[in-house]
Amino acid sequence: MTKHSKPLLFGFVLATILSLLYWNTRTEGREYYLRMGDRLRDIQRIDAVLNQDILKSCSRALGDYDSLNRGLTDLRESGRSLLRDAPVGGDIGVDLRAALDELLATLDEKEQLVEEFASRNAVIKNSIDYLPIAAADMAETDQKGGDGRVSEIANAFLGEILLYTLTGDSGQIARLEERIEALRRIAGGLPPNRRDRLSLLADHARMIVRQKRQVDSVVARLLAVPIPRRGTDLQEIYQRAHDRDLERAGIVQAGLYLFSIVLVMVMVNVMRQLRAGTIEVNRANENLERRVRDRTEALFQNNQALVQEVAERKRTEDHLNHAIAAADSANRAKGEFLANMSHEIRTPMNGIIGMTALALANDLTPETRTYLGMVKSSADSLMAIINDILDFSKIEAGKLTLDPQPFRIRDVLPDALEPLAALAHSKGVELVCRVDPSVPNSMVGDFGRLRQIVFNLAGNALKFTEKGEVVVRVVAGTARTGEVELGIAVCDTGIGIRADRLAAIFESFTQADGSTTRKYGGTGLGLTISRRLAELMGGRLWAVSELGKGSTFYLTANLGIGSSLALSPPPFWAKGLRVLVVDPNATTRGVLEEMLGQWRMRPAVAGSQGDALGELLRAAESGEPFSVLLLEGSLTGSDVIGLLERMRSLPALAETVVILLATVGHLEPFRWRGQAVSMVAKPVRPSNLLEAIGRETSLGRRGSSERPPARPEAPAARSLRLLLAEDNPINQKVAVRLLERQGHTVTVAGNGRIALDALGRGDFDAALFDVQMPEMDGLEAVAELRRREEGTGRRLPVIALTAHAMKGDRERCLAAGMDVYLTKPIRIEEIRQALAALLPSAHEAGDAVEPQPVQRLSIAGQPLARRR
Amino acid sequence: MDVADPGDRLPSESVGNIVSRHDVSTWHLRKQIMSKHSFLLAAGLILAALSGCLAYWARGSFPTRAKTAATGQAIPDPSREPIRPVPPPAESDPDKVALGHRLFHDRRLSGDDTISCAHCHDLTKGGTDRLSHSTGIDSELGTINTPTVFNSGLNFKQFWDGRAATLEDQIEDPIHDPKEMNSTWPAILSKLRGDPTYVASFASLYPAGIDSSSIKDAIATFERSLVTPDSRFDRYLRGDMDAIDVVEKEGYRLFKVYGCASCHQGAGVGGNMYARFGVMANYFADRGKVTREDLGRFNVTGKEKDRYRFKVPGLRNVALTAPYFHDGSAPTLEAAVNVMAKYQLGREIGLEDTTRIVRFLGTLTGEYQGSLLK
Repeated sequence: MTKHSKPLLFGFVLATILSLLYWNTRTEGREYYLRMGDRLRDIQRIDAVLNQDILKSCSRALGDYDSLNRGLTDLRESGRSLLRDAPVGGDIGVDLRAALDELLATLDEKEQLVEEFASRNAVIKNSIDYLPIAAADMAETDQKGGDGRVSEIANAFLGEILLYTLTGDSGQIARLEERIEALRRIAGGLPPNRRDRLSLLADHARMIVRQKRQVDSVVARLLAVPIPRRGTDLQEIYQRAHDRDLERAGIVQAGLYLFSIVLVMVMVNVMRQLRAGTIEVNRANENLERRVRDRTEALFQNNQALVQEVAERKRTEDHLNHAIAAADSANRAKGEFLANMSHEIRTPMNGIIGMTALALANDLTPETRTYLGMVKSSADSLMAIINDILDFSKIEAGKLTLDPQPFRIRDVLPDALEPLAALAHSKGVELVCRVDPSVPNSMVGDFGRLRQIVFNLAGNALKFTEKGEVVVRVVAGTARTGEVELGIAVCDTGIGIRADRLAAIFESFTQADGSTTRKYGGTGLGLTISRRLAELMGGRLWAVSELGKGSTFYLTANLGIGSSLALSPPPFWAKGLRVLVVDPNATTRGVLEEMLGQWRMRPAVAGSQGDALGELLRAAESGEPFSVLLLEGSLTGSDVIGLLERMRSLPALAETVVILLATVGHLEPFRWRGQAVSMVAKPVRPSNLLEAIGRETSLGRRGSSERPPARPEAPAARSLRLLLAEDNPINQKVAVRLLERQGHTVTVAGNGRIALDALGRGDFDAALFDVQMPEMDGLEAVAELRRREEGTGRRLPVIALTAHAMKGDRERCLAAGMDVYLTKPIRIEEIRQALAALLPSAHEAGDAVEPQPVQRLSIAGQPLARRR
Repeated sequence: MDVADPGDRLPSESVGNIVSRHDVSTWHLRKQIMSKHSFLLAAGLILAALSGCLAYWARGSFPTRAKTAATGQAIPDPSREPIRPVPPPAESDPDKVALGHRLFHDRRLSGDDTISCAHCHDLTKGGTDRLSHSTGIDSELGTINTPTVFNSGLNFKQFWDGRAATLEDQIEDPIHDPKEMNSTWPAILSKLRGDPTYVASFASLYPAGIDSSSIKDAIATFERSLVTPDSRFDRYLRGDMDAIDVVEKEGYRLFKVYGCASCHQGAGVGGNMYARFGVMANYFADRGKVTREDLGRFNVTGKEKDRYRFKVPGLRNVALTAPYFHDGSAPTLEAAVNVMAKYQLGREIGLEDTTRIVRFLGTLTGEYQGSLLK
């Protein structure tokens, strides 16, 4: 450190001295002094011109005073600029400022004199100009009534005065004053009008005599104003300062020369030392080189061995890399193959499932029906397996992304569980769904995937539960602002899982017990996929279980809180409504009681028919009879009828409305007292129940109506003309049959171009477009269709049907101008809903689809696309 | 130098000042001079010769008299006339002029946001308010007649008593005068700095932004642009003999002969010197009730010789700026000309000559932004 800092410091000091010296030799003052000299000369020149102008004005050669003012302004400006540029301090600063102040004072003096000159000169001019007029006036009045003598005197006097203005001879003044007095005396003896004129003449003459003297003295003083001398003084001061600067610069220059010489000598010395040092260093270098050569040779030997080893390792590494790359590509190929294959397999599978469903709808022998039923269930199982594999391979490839949409969990969760209700019903297991009030009504998330998990968990639970109940509970925890941590617990009363197997069930291709596979079926992929999906949603999936008593699967997921769909307040009419819930399952009773309580109704519960009757009677006696009886429909039909019969026999209960709770498809339309009894599907969707209570008690806005129970596959209220664009003949057939069974008329087009031609010719209510078609695909065709519609004011509702089910498909379809996006296999219920939403007039109001104003995006945003 | 050179028109012109060919009465006089007082003639010739020499010395060469072929009328030689055409305005930044225009019309420059510069200097009223005394803040009556803002850049000093050397200095007085705008720079600056449009305009034109000197510079720059060139009289001076009619030409001749042009000369037809109000008679004694304002320049210098001495007002656009004089006492130009004749010349000049001079004064009305001032 010190070794390096010393020369550095030395260099710095040297550089500072040098630059200081150089700076001081700069004679930039030269320019300044030259400029100041120019300005001083300017002042003297302007002053001279000003004096000329004054003399010109004096002799009437200059008619106006503008040039005088201009000269003064220029002088003042030059003086001020000198003061502005004068150095503030220093030995010359003081002298210079004093001299400049003197100059400015002199300029002020000049200005005042010029002002005085202008005023007085104007007066003289005025009077001189007037004299001839006055004399002429005198002559005129003389001619009229005078003797001419006066005008003669006046004229003679006029001449003298004019001569005086030219010569300015002060010796004349006394004589002229006398003449003026004489004139006044003459005037005194004249008649008034002539007297006035002569007096005026005398006045002007006196004005001239007096002012002339003044003006002459002012001019003399003006010309004597010592501006040139001031300029010369200043010039001298500047010159002095300049000389002093030059002198100082000379000294510094000499110093610089001296210093440079010393510096050169030092350099020469340093160079010599450097040379000597270099020779020594060279000698040392030679020694060193020799030693290095020796060492290098030894090293070289070692190196040879090392190089060989490195080469070998490199070869090994290459091998390894090749192997890894091969393995990677094989894995990727496998993943892609699986994804492709699943997709390829799905197309024929859709055909099998669709055709089997059609076949089952015909009149069949029991034997054939059994066979076909087995075909159908086998195909369904195969489809489920294929879907699982597709999902799994997507997850493995990291290609699965979520598709968040706003959804209302209270409405969509019961819908999602509805397919399981039938299974639960057939096994005699109660499937209950309870959404905690804390859960926001609207959330934003990939409900398709959420449903997949819940469906999987509930399906598993049902699979392993022979009796008792499966309860799906939904709660909400707090998370960050705008987000909610949704918790879903699926609790069953099934066989349970051994503690040491609990972790293993989430692994691929595994079930709790290897032997159960045969009994319960399934790929074992469901839980793995579910757990990965839960993690994608920022949550977890885990289970607790007790062997023989049952299991509970817990799922958490972080979802956004939707803002637009706030929980609507309970209707006013619901307040205080007495409702009796009759259900053998305690959990269901609890859920319904809570639901009714939230609407501010006054629920009571009964577990059996007998208890129910007791409650009904007690309430009737107390004067507060139940308005509504919610009756579990799976109580055996005779029991229900028996209860109803008893109720009919009691007049106090005549007003009580009965609503049946039933699993879809497992209850025949039930008529009592010549009227269809209203039914609500289980698991209970809150909005459906509230609507049914409102309708049946005539309290809700919608009047009572005779409606088929639950949600049947009722034919559309109106027959529609539909265009189907689909290239696969099997899919064509399935779709056509399904749609025709709904009462619609279907025209089939083999590709987009044919479809467009058909649309151009015929009149259609709606169109269904496959996306992938030869020649012209669905996207292209619909985009073209929308172009043609531009300006016509018409917009044909279009439903996209695709087997793709890939991320981004929906966006592409909607961007192309399609209104609803559905995935294959074709599900008639989805199509029915979509058509109802797109063509609201085609269906009855108050059906499963909310009769809201149809908006393309909100329809598209609803989870119509089931992607399992 | 050859005095007898027949091309030398200066001697005859100088004599013409004394004895004009167009004036019958002075013609008469000349005859008398020639016949009876030949020595006076000689004196006149000497005077003429001397004038010629001086003029030659000043100009370096003798001008030649230009004549129009058709009429034979003398074209006025601008350099020989006491009045010069209005020079074109100095080159100035149009943005600064626009900013000054806005400030000139901004009432926020007064203490209670009621009075702008334009309140008294109305550009549509010849640059004045056409009142004998202007009203300032709270309708306070001013003490002196408002001079026009048009051509104020031609004045050698500002105010009737010349107490401000520049237009920039002039702005200080009305702004602080409790009877005029009654404001202060801190108050004005805080108001203008709160206006983003001003902040932007100033920032682009002045490195210092909004401060008193930039405001004054903008207003003064605008005022210097308020010149009124191309009056009919200026066109006449430039050689357009038909720009003014016979009566107006006669008015101009009288204006010179009666000595008005002794003071009212230069480009501004005045505004370049001080003169005592009442040379041949005491105006203030006749008028009575002398106020402080009547003392004129005495208020500035305290010198006795400056008592009743005022800046000679410029007569450009004078037909539009009634009433006249620092006390606003003359309601019409005729009245003003008569007062001037009486107190500066010592006589009455008669209705006919007054009318001719007033007709001539009407030709001094110039143009602003391409259209004749009204």
